[in-house]
Amino acid sequence: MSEIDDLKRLLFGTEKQTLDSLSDRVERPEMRSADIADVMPEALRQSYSKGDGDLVRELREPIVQCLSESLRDSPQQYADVLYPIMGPAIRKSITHALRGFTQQINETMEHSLSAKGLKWRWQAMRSGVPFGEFVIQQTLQYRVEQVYLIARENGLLIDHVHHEAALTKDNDAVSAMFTAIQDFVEESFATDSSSRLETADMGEFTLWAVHGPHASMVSVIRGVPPASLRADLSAILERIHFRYSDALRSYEGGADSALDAEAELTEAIQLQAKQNESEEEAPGTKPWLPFVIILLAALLFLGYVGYKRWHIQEQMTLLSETVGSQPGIYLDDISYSDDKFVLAGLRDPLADNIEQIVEQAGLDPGLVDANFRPYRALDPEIVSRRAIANITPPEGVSVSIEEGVLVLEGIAPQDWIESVSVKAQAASLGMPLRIADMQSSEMRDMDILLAELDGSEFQFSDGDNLSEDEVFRVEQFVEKLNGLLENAERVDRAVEVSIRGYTDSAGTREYNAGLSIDRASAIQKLFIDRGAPESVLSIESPSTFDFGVGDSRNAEVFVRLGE
Amino acid sequence: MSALTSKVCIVGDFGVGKTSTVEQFVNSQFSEKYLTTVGVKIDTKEFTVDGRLHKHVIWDIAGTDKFGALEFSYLKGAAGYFLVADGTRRNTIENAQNLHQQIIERYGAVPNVMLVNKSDLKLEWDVTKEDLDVLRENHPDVLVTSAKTGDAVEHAFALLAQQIVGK
Repeated sequence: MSEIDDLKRLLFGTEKQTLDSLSDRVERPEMRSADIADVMPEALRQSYSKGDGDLVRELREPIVQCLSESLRDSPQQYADVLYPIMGPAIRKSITHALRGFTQQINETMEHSLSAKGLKWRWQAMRSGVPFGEFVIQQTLQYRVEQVYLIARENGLLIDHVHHEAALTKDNDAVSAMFTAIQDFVEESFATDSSSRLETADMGEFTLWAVHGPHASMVSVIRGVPPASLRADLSAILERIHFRYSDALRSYEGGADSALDAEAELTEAIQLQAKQNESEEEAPGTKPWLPFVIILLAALLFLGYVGYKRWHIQEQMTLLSETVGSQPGIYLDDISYSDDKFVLAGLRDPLADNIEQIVEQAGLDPGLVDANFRPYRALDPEIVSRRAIANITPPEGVSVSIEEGVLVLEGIAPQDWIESVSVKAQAASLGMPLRIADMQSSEMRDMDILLAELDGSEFQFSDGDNLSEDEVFRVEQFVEKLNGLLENAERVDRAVEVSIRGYTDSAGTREYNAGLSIDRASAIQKLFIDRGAPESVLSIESPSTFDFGVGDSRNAEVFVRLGE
Repeated sequence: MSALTSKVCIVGDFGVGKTSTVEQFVNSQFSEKYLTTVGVKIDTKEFTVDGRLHKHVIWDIAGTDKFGALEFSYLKGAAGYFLVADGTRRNTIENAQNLHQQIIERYGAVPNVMLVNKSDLKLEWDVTKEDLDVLRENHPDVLVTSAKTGDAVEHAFALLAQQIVGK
């Protein structure tokens, strides 16, 4: 070792050791880190207590960055840490929201049928606002009358403000008592430490408490507060906590406390629902008018409904009587649906048309919906119609029903009369048929001709000569006789024509008997000449009658029906 | 001048005179009628001690056989408390001392004053002067009071207020 070194050691021995040690601590990073770790907490404390905010500002950025990266890298770890905090917070928030919603539903239900509710319904309708929303607007009449700021730890009243009109008592006692009740409820009923007394109702007042970590804010509210008010009150309490966090934490009732939350509490007092202008009735308005109008409208409506129902009933009765009494119609049911009368039942195809019946009854057929199924009616009228439709009676035949028997009367051709029974049977009229009173048209014509022809006389001028006029009459006679014969043939009857000749009393009986035969023969010949069949003609022997009477010069013709 | 507001509790056995003591202090009244306190009763009183205005919010906690979680919760945050015993019932002193220990365990040392009540019934006392001396050895502030006559009641509250200020 050199002398200089010895000298240095002698002069600066201790200092050198110190210098070496210092150099060693500066140069070795692990030593430097240990040194900084020793002084770091104290350095932070000192910087923070200076209160100039430098430390906070400087640390903010790196801490935020650290947290961000850390969150990104291991989110699960943070989720696990936050889980016990987030769960209750979310539950609480949902409970609040649901409670507010329930309250709104209750209010809506309560007001839906009251007199006020009807008025609001009318106003809501006029203003085009949904009724539920309108009710909520109207019911949010409230005023925060008093606000207590209470220390959580000891229940001491930190501050209290009240509305001018509010009655206040010993606020310290109120604050303490509220805390006592809160403690009681918490100890007796709460299942977890975050549950607190939040609402109490007393007549027209509602007590709402919002809780912070160091203080609770209790508001005495007159009226019905909306759920949103709680959020406003919570926001105010949060601001108070933000501003006076330290003072709140250590509050021990000191009058010299730096805590002055009056401004914030006054803010809470000013929370109140806007008075709805429509609630304030202007002078001269008639609040009852809408009710009267509604009442009148309701009465009119009821009257109209009543009249309509009565009218429908009347029409139904009329329809039932008219349609139901028609032959061939069985009305089973009548109802009113979709502005139409619905008729149901059975109808014979031969019955009258429903539309015509309805029209005849004075009703609009368009209002009637007829659902009839066909059937075979046995009403006399319908049986009669069925008979007419099937046997087609000729003119002059009447159809009637007497004691359950279908009676045909009048005159008809013989062949129709003969065929009618068969036709009736084929048509199954549903009733016995009587045709005994029917007369054939042929017989009638024959009777007429018989009456006309029988006893006809023809005058001779002399001998067996006929005047021209008499010949003409003979021709007419023969024509009618032939008609009679035709009918007689149709009805299968025989006709007998006998001719008598008469003479005057002058001359001998023999002569006159001969003349009688001559005259009858002359007529017979003339008949035959004019077309009469000889087979039906006969001459009566003068021996059978008195032929010479007075100045008779004629012949008489007798026409008889044989079997 | 604003008052220093303090939460003050008053605890002790059944019928030792807690409510009567408070009534005497707050309203200067005494009623012979015994009314049991249910839960907790709150009163407030403003008074001056050493020129300083105090306001005590007094939590009169009902006497129970067993001081449970609820009763202890009422003591939370109290600035001071009174332990009340009945001079005519020796066991109430022991109970008060037990309670005192439990409160200390739960909330630490808090200003307190022990009141041995019913000094107006001295003839019926089964607590002796020696008992009181022993008590004072462990508990510096022991006062013999009478809720009925008001004897030492105001002094008791003043003493507690001084303790609260001086702690």
